[in-house]
Amino acid sequence: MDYISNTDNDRALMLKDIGVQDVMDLFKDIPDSLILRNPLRIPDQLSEFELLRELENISKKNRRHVSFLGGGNYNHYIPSTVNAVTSRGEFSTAYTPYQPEISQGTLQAIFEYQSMICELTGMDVSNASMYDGATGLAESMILSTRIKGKKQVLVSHALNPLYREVLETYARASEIRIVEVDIKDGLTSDFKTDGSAAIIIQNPNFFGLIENLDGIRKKAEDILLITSTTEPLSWAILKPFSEYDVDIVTAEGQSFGNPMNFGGPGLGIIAVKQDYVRQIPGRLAGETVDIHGKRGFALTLCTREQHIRREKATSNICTNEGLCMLAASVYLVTYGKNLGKLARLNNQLAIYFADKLNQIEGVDLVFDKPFFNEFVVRIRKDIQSKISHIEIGISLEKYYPDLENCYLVCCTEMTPKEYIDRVLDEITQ
Amino acid sequence: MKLLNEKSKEGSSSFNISELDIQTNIPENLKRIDLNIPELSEVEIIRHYTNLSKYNFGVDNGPYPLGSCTMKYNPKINEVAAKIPEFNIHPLSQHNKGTLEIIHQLQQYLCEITGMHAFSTQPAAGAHGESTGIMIMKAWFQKLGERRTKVIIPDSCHGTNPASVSLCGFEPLHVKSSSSGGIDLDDLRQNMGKDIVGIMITNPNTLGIFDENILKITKIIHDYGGLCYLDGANMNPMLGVVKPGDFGIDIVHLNLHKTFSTPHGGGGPGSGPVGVKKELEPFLPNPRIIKKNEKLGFEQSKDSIGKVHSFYGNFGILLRAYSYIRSIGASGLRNIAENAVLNANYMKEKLKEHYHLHYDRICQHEFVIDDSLMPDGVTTNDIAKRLMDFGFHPPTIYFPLIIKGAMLIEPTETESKENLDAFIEAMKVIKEEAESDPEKLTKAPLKAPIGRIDTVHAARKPKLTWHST
Repeated sequence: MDYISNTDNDRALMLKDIGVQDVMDLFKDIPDSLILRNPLRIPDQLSEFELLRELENISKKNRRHVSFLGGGNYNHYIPSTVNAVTSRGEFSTAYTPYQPEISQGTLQAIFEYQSMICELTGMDVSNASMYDGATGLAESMILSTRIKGKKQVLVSHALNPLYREVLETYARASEIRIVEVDIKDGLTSDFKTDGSAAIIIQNPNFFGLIENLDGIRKKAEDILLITSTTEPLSWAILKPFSEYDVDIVTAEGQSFGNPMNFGGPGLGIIAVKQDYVRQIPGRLAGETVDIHGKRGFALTLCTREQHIRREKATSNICTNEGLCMLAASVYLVTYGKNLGKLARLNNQLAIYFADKLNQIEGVDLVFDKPFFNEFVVRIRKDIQSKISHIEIGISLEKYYPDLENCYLVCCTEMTPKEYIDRVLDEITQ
Repeated sequence: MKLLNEKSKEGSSSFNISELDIQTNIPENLKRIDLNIPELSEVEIIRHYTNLSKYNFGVDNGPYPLGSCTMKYNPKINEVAAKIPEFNIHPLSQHNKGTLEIIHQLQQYLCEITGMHAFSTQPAAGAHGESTGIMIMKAWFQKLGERRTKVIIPDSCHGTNPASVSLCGFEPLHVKSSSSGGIDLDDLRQNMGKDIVGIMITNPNTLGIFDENILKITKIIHDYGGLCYLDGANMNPMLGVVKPGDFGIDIVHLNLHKTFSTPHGGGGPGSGPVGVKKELEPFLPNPRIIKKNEKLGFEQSKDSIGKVHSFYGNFGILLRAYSYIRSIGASGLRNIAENAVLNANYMKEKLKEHYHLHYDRICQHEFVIDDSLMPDGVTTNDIAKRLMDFGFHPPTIYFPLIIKGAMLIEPTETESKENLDAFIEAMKVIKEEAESDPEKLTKAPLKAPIGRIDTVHAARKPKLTWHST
């Protein structure tokens, strides 16, 4: 197959109009020694049905099954409204809305998304999304050092270790020092703010536990408070971050209507206090009017951005996850207030599974603290081998050597009670 | 159009959930009291977004000759491929052989296309690939124990280039373009020294010109021990014709959403894989997906710059790009380059009768004209707005920055001669209107869903959410 509209006749006419004999005459600026003489070593083209057959055959080498894996990527049901909207070519094949008159669809959708994220987080300003949860957090870390003029940040030991790796990469490049804050019983413990620009705390944290942020502002009086969330569904039943006086909220928004897709694309959520509106990286859509006085939307405060400020820009980011953002908006409005019920159901399933597991000899709940939809259990080796086909959770030993034989177990509405019961049966048999 | 919040009616959401009869463990003092997400019935939601979509212009609506963005047609089979259920797996699942096979095979294809030795598909967008590439340069010199501080960037570069350089703690050093549109070799030589990390070059550049001195440029950099980074945004006209690896490039990023036809999505998600020559392979992001003894798996390198994404990049986009490459094959790739360059040159030749062409020479897949022949008061912005009335998305405007009133036009290979002729005709009519009825242009667009937007108003007192006033 190919996707070219010109016919041989068209090509001949065009070459004649240009005044050259052969299409290769148009490549004469390229030094002759560089022009490839042989075709690329890439297989021949396939017809649509051949391609689909090949892809389906490859896909069968995966095994899709219900699992209890979470830790930053969650298996949630995606309402049918989401795909109906995101598959519309007017949304999916449009570019960044730099020409607002013919991009009002994308722009209004961004504005509505921003409004909903601010509602969920309680923050003043949200951008139109970042690459993913980890890079959004890294950008926030850099942002905090710029605001505070200090090159050190505190990071909770209960932050997702993969996010920690991304932070370290960005910190090395930007010459920022990361200081770790210890954990106690799975929760972020006390810290000293000396010389730091910010403290980064994940909530619910990597162990699924809900951090009590009451009173944290007092301890972090002179530094920025940055939160990271990998499971923003929890926001539907948890007190908004604004009530703890958090400065920057970041999250992975994949849970809102985006498939797992082996971890990407994700949806980097970032929302800040009004004070930092001119510092936040990424795009912002704002309300304005057209020449007739009619309401319209446009990208705004672009003077922060790389195409204007170049090396002085707040970030090098020049894209967002537009379609994932749109999916999130449709997802949120489809559930509406029922999002609270969905969050509670996730919480209930996790409580149910954790309680039942804890009653089994050889399986222990590691932290006796409130959690949202993930929890940590220690499983005796003989039981592990019994359920090796299940993917009971993420093995934590690799990231936390003291958590030997421990797993991070996640429940969502896609791991219903019947399935949990079946797994429990297999363990106790 | 009314906003979701303005249409919301409490109790109209029908997407119900049955909870379990289990008490929550969340303490009262940490619970949310109310949740104000707009509520609409399903039909109202679908109509809201369907109506919004009518206010949007995509490639599926018409030609999108947006220079440097390569808005080619996105084949529908790619979308079917991306929705194969077995590929929707958790990133930490062990049952991932098919997924790893796609990523690994795509890496191999990208190596063959660019002449690089190894690729990482982790970066989620072009600019993400850029910063990854600069981090690799930084790690390379740290390993060598050399302290270098400056990265050379031509003045016609993408805005993300200097931003990526400064993100990594380096200083961008701008070099001039020559009168023929390439890099000024004298200026480049004068700036060379042992403090130069390397060059970040776009070739063909943002003027649409393939720098005929490219081999000299990369040699000058290499002679000082520097590295050559290629911003691969303009890979489209090189497919199957020339490999960046052959002209001395050490690191390259590709924009899969441009060259390999994955939809731009109103701003993303994109994908910006980074490829390197052999000696730089250990510095690529961790983990790498590699094949060892016929087995696919992950590998960590101690010299790696580290991780740059939560997981392994935008797999959904990688799958679409894989599907695209397989559906067109090697000959299809070459066809893209030839038709992209043919279309651009055809349009350039026809438009130069009416508009000022800054560099009157052969171009690659894009070219720059400007508004200097327009009557007083009619600007590039006016031309762009008026083009909307003719059913075209405007080209990239006021970029590259080195040409006043620039219009960077990239027709892409998927447009037909008929569409090119229609665009040329529209541009000709606009030129005539500028002379006979300039006011018509300054008020354009006249047929778009909304009149010309006041962007200054938006910036003066930003209103960024429904609530704030």
